[in-house]
Amino acid sequence: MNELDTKYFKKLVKEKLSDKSLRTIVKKATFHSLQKRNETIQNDISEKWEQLREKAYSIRKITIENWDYYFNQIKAKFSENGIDFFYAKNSSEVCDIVNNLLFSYKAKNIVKSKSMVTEEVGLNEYLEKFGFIVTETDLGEYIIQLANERPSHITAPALHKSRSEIGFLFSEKLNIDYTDAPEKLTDYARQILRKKFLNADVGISGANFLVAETGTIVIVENEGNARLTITLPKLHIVITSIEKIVPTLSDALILLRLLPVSSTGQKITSYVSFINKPEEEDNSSKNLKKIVVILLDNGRSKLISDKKLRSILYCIKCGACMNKCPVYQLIGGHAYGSVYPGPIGSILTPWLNSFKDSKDLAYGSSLCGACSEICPVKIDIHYQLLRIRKYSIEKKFSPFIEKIIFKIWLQIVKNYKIYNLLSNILCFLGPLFQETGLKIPVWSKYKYFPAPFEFSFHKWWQREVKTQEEYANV
Amino acid sequence: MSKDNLIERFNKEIIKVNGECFVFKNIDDSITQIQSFIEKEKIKKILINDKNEISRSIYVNLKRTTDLIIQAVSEINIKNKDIKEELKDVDLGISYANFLVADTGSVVLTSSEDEPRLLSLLPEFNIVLSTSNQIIEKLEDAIDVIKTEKSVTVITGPSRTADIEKVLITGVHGPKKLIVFIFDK
Repeated sequence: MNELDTKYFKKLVKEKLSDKSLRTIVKKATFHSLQKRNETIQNDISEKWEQLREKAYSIRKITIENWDYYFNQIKAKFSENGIDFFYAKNSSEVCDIVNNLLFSYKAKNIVKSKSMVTEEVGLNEYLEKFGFIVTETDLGEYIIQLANERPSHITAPALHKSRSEIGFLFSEKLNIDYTDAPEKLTDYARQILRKKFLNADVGISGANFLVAETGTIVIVENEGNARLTITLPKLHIVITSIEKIVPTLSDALILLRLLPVSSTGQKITSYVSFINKPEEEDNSSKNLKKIVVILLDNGRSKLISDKKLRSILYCIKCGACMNKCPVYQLIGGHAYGSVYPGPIGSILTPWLNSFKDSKDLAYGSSLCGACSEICPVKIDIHYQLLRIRKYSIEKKFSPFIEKIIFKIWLQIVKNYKIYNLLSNILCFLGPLFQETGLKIPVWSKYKYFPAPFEFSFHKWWQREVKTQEEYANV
Repeated sequence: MSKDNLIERFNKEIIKVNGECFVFKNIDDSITQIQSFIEKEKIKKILINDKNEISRSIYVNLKRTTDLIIQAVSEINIKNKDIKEELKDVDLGISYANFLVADTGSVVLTSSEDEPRLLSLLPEFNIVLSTSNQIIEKLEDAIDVIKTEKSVTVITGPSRTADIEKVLITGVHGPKKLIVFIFDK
């Protein structure tokens, strides 16, 4: 996986928190998506949303629990359908497979449609080192590529950029007159990317679902760039991760009812492509186009074998948890430093990366549970956050000072006399700080720390019981 | 759902996604509609899937009444030409649908020699022909076709993006406009 910045989570958060214009943009965008989602659920979905979620949850649960079965099934189906298939253990295996393919096709120009897994793998940087020209074709991804940044949201990669930022970026990188009109910027991108498409040797895309029963590759999109990526070049490489399998086509159609609604509030996206078999290259030849599917593991099969953690892989990558998360809304996706930001990223990243470096992500949450509530496949996201915190303590990854404090605390609560003595001292001193609150380093910078009350709960309880008794005796 | 209800539902849904829908009793009316569209959008070159009674009749009628360049997919096939090259300067592609989905206002196209996938994708405008008998209630009703064809594309409205500050723009990499003609005798 890419060199990640999750180590610097706290530093990044601080930086992003002070960026007011970023916050305005992120809030506006996430609220917009949430509002559209809610409206669509209310007005346009004939089934009960909760029942749909329940169905989706059970589809994902069965798939992940029996993943090896469906994996073998889809492998057989791919070969039956004439689709080449590779299982890649880690990122470098993906890069090698792609590299070999591109060399054997003497490819130079590569067009890509959105695939988060290729971000995880760091494919673009790798291919560029070998001299391939890789162009992202989803508008958001194209913007990010021009800016040399990472996506800040899994379904809306350029969500953190304002129209004027994009305007300046286009005018600088593409040598055009400045404009911040979204329709003009989109039109420029269309013209430039159309040429790239027509000259492309190879297309690389992700996939939303892979159907075990039929070997169908399902790709969901709005712009048409994925359709061009899979149709125009001779070779189409699908790169996604091992958990994208679903048992049957009707299962895929159920998940398809939830995915676009959850991510953009659309009932269905503009385009859904179902690919079963390669097509003829053109109508004059009997040559077939080639389709190659690469599935990345990168630690996922280990997650699948863990009964408590496997629900993380139910995810269908809709991004709703990011939109809903009060933390994401404040800091945006880049603050997480990970490829997958927001709540789902915080529970996935530590298990795929160095746990020690990315465990802090699980603390960047208020544990309010909004993510679990909105998740269309009912992942227990906030419990998973707690699991990471628990594991982190068990593995003694907590900061030195925290360990010391808890050791002392343990000794205090173990001894009644010391506990009582200390609480009496605090109650005695309490009134002195009643107005200002206690000054605790770091904490008091952001929040008020209430001073101790003038008597302890223990004393209050005794007094209360006494009054109650007196009252009863009257 | 009755046929009329299906048409009504389809129409309602496709409007929501910025598509358009016209219902015709006969081919002549549709020709007038296409002609006014050609004029309005300054169309110069048309490619049409002509492997069907309705589309062939439209093709011949258009050939007869306009002096635009109008090609049929079958002609290209016979000449063994590359569809990609042929489509480069086509601004209106006329497709023929397998199904229309009432629930979502979607068009279901299966790829074939007569309906190359690029026909509904590369040109700026896309007109999709169909009859009222082809309207199904839900996408699930097309599941057997999705299972058996090489590839199936479900199209719902024109191509769109909201990647810049969530402002909706129609017409990104695919068609700017999608118009569905339903023939209902």
